[in-house]
Amino acid sequence: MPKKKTFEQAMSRLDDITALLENGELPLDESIRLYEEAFKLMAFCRKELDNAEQKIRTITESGSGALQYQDFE
Amino acid sequence: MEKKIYSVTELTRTIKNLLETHLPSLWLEGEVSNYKRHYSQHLYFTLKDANAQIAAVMWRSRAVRLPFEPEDGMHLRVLGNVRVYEQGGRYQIDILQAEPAGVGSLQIAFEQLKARLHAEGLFDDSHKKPLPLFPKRIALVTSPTGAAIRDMLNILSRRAPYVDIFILPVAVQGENAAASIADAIEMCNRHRCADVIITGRGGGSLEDLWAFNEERVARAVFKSRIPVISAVGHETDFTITDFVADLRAPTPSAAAELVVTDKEEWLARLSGQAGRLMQAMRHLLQYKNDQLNRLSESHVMQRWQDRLNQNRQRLDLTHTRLSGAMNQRLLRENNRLQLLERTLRATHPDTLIKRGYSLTLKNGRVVTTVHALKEGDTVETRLADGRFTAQVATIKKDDHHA
Repeated sequence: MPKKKTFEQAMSRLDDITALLENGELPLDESIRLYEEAFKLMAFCRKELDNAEQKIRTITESGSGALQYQDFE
Repeated sequence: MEKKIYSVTELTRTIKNLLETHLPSLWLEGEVSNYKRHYSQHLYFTLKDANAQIAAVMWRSRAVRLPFEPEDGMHLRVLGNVRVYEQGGRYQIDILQAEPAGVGSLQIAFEQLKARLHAEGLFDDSHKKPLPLFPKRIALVTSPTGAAIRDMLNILSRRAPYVDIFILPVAVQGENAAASIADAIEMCNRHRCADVIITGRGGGSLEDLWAFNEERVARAVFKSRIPVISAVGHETDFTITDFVADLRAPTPSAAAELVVTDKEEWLARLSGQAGRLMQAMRHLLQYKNDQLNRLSESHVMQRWQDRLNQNRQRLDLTHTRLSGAMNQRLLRENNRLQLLERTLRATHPDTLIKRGYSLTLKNGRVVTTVHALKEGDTVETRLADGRFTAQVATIKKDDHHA
């Protein structure tokens, strides 16, 4: 798994892990490792969904080509 | 009396005077033939009906304001002046404005651009980019005032407080609208401001929506590396931008609904996943536990377990003292035991409690069945970080255990 994972990657990895564990053919220690990974992934996904402060901004480009951000209202 | 003899120039000037002073600007209707757009962008053609024809010209300064491209066979209604060209000895109509007779000129322009871009492949599905499953930044290329942006912001804040929204304010109607929309889409790409772009506006007349039928906007949408959702007008309005966009939403509100998955839906999906994982793990632990119980009952395992429990160090010492096949076997058994011990730890109540299971006791004894409880009983429940007591309110037996 790449260092900076995305929500999409986490969800797809979660699907894989669930399938592996439901299959039930892995050794116990491997299963426990995956189980722990899955709960870390779920915590990550929940955090991604919990962007408490939604930013709504206008963007314009200045004459020099730099972006200017301004809160919308 | 002397005969009046005109020079050619004199006659031509007289004709020119007569025609140009007696025929002011007039409306004329006829069918286009021999249509040519000169490289200088002046338009030359003939207007004709069943019995006559007249040469027509539309100079570039006026031709650029024509939203559609005339073509042979098209019926035009034109406003113009009759002009006589002395050098060529010809007269023609000098056109100020033109519109198709019957259908609106914008309608014709729409059909023409649509056919041209379609032939060029701009609408092909192979160019459609997939929308991100989980966008974190959404760009709205639209007017910062008006109902469309309000609707979109309301829906996005309600459904997806997890996204950041960037508004690229543009004019959505009027002379500069197309350039302003196209520039904003290009700017968004240049700075990679967003994971997905929504461009559009609320409903209006064909003229009001016209910017979204202009080639500049179509090309900017086509070139965008960021997926673009078009959201123009009402459900029944179709624009060129709709055809080029990666996804057409029937309205701005619909675009806001389509672009994100509701946070509640994600959360439900996550808890579903958690449930499946816990269920799978419970099955697995149960299975391993049964295995362990069977093994523990066997005499050999019992002996090894006793010895391991008594003194692991001494056992390790014994292992090293043993040699050959026996040693190998011991090591194998030892490994297996370690694994089983880990299983036991994993299923130990404390471990389970840390994972969110709880333990309920009545008078110091673990409650494993509802038959041990009466309504009104005081029970104690242990969690990972403490305990609480509670009074049994209602008891309900699971049917399949009955």
